[in-house]
Amino acid sequence: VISKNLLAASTKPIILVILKLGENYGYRIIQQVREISGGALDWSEPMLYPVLKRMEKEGLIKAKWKMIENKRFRRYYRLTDLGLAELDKEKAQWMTVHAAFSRLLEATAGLG
Amino acid sequence: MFDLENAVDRWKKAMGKSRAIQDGDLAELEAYLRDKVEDLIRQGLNEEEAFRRAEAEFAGAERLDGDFYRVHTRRWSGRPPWQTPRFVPALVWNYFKIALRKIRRQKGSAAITIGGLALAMTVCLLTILWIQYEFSYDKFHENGPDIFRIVAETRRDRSNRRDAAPIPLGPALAKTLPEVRKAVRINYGFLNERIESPQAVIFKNATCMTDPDFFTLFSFPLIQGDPRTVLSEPNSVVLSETAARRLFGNGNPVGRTLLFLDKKFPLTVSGVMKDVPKTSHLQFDFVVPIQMVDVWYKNVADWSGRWEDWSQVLCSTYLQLTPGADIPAVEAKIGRLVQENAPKADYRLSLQSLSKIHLHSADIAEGSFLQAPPLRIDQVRLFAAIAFIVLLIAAINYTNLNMARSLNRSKEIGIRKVAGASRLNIARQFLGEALVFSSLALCGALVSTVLLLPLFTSISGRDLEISLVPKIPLALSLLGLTAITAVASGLYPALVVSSFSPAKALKNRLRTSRQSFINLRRGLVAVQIVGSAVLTIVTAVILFQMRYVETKDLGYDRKNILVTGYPDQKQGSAFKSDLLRHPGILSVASGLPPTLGAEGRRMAGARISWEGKSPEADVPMDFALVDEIYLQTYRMTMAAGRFFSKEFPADLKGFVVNESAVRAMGLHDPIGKSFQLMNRTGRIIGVIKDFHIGTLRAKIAPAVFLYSPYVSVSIRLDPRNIPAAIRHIEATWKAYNPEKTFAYSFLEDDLDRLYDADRKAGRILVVFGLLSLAISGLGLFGLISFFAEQRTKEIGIRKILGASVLGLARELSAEFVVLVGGAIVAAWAVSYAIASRWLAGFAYRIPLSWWIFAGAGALVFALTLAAMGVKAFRAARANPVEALRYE
Repeated sequence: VISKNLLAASTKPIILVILKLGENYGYRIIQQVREISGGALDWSEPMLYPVLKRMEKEGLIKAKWKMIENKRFRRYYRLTDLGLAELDKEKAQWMTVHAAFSRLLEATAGLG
Repeated sequence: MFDLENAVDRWKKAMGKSRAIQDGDLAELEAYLRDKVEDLIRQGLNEEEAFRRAEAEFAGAERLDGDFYRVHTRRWSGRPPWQTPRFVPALVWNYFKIALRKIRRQKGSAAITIGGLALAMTVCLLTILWIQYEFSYDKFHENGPDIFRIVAETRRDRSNRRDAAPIPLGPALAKTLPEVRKAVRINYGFLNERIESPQAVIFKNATCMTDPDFFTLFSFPLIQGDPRTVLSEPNSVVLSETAARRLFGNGNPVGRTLLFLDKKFPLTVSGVMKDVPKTSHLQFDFVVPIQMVDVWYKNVADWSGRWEDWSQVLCSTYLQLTPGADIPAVEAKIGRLVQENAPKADYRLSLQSLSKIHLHSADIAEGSFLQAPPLRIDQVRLFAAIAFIVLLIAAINYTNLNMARSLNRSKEIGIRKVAGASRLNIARQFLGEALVFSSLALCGALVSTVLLLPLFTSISGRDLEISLVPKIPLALSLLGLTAITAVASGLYPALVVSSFSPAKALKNRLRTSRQSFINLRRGLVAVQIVGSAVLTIVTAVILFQMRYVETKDLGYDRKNILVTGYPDQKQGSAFKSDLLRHPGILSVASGLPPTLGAEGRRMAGARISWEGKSPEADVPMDFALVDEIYLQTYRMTMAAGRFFSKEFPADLKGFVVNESAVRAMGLHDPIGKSFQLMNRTGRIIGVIKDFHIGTLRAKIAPAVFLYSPYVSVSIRLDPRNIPAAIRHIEATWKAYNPEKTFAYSFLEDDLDRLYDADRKAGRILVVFGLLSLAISGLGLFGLISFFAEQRTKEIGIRKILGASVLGLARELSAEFVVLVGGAIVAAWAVSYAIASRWLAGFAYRIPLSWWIFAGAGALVFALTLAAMGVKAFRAARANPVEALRYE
């Protein structure tokens, strides 16, 4: 299980990446994340919406209501240019941390 | 039948109530809900189950709400306005309202509880301030934690503990022990020695003769002069600001000359120090180099051989050790050093830390007048205990009244419980109310403390202050006091009331007659009465002891004695005979008042010997220089032999001792035995009846009189003519000392000062005792009125059936009589223990006679019964129709 803090910190970059794959909506995003992570990243589901809302307010993503199967509406999100740039930044940060972390782990590998 | 659309609509309505979720958000959440439901149905659940499971995810809607709010808000905390801050329990404003309403409705009992609590907290606050003050003694020294004083005791039986060390010890320690950074010796000059400047002369002074490191070891700040060098010249003197003003007016004293000791000894002022703080155990106005000892004591003894004398302990010594030094190791090294230098020494030395001197010196012989009288830690504990008892009594008042009233509030509690309040909620409400009460009481207590402080300062003789700038320890103790009061008074009611079952509470089935309640209440009342009775008895004992001290026959007549200086040796006898010309002056004697011990003239036992002295005898004695008029001036009586007199010139070389000295020396027929004090040898010519030398705390010490007509003057005045006599003395004084100020004091005032600490402590205790009696009286009064109220109907019916008022009143109070009686008996035991312990500090004390206990007990009994009687009588006299009307 992933700690609360790490979960909170990783929400934004993961949403950005998923939306880079294409338009998506809340419920599906949650499902995809759960599948990809093999169930380790299990977001408390309705909590996603305030996060999406905040990212929308910051201009990282854009939303549009779409009619599906002529029955009801869903709100679809897609990445903006700003969001793309933000993703690059986030990626760079995560990679820096990851690289440092792995190098340190290698260094300690011999120590048992 | 489950309908999904209906269910979603209901869900939407419920969610829509939230203040931060907007319509668009809600639609999106709905879409999510539906996605989830469809998904779950696909997995094989039926519609209803799927909806329940999906809906369950929104159970934390409150948090979701807050999360949405946080997206919009610019609030720094992100806390939505409809949520109470986390540290305030929900419903707190309602509780607050109820508490205030309660106070408004029941003004009488609220006044009793808040007033009682406020009084008790005032007592506690004053005590806290006072204790803080006592603990602040000697805390202003920068090197404080590393400073120790050497204490000597007899090697044989560890008795006779005193603040002294051999004279050469200090410098030797500083030189040889690496742990000892600095050592400072202090020797005290006699009080009432003459110090003269060109403008003025003073006789009352405290002179400290010490080593040059004095001002760097201790932190007595200098206004002028360098602490490192100010005492390095052998003829230098440092004086306090006040002394400088008295001797030199507003001029700069540095570099000017002061004549010490009958004009014989000129010293140059090398520095001025700030007045010594009151919270210092050392009190002095003048500091001179220790070499002055040689001159100072010349009248009585040759001091020159003492600088290398290891065989006896003669002067106070203070050490500054390196931080963290191992005290037992240092003590052992000191012991070895003493062993090397004085193999036959009959004393052993130990270290006492500076911070313990003020409160932990009860077993150390009363020191010199240069030291503020130490306070016994017992005294501090006694006060702390009293403050605690007073607070306890007030808390019990609250508990009792609150318990009684909470039964009347059973409906409120029932409703709260039905509306979903948990036991914890109710308990919290009651504790909260107690907190409201104790906070209000704290406000009252702060106001009354500020108002009472000047009075308390003057009766306690301490400069207490409660500053407006909050100090952390004080603020903490205030908060602590409030919290403790709240918990002590509110905890039990909170626990009991919260356990009510709502059904019974609403049906008003709660009975005040439940046995456990009654027992508990009885117990609390008993504790309260025990507390008040203990305080009353202890207060009475202290009062009687104080009166005993003030009126005890001291062995001399202390009334109408004026003490002043003398012009100089040549003119001494002319001055005395001129004084006697005035009819208001009955006699004039040379010699200081007999309060010798308090003046610090104690001679070590090793300097005294007599015919037939056994080698291990060690009798330190107080000594005084007097003339032949002394006995008659002070109206003392002889037990055997005769006093000095001009008719027997040979006697003038002799000694007069007191009865204690005879006993201590083990002499059966003392008259005519030879006696030696330092290097003066003579015969014992008389034995004077014992008289009190110091305070009544100390046993009368052995004392010896020497003849010498040249010291301060004691004048017995005719009480009918005192102002004229003083004018005559002043005129005579001016004739001999035209340019010098005339200074004098009355013996009685000086004695008062000597007993001051005890008298002041006694007065404070009396005030506290009365306060606590008032508080517990209030509480009992409130409680009895409640009982009477509870039994209104019973009383009404009894009256209709023909009961008499008197009989009813007796019936109502019968239960209390037994209770109060029992409590008083218990109080006797407790107060006997406390009072006898306190009295043990006095060598001369009143017996703890039964009538003090009986009297104080009767007083408490009568007061409680009177309070009860009034209430019971009123209840019994009420019109029965009024009582039964509502049936």
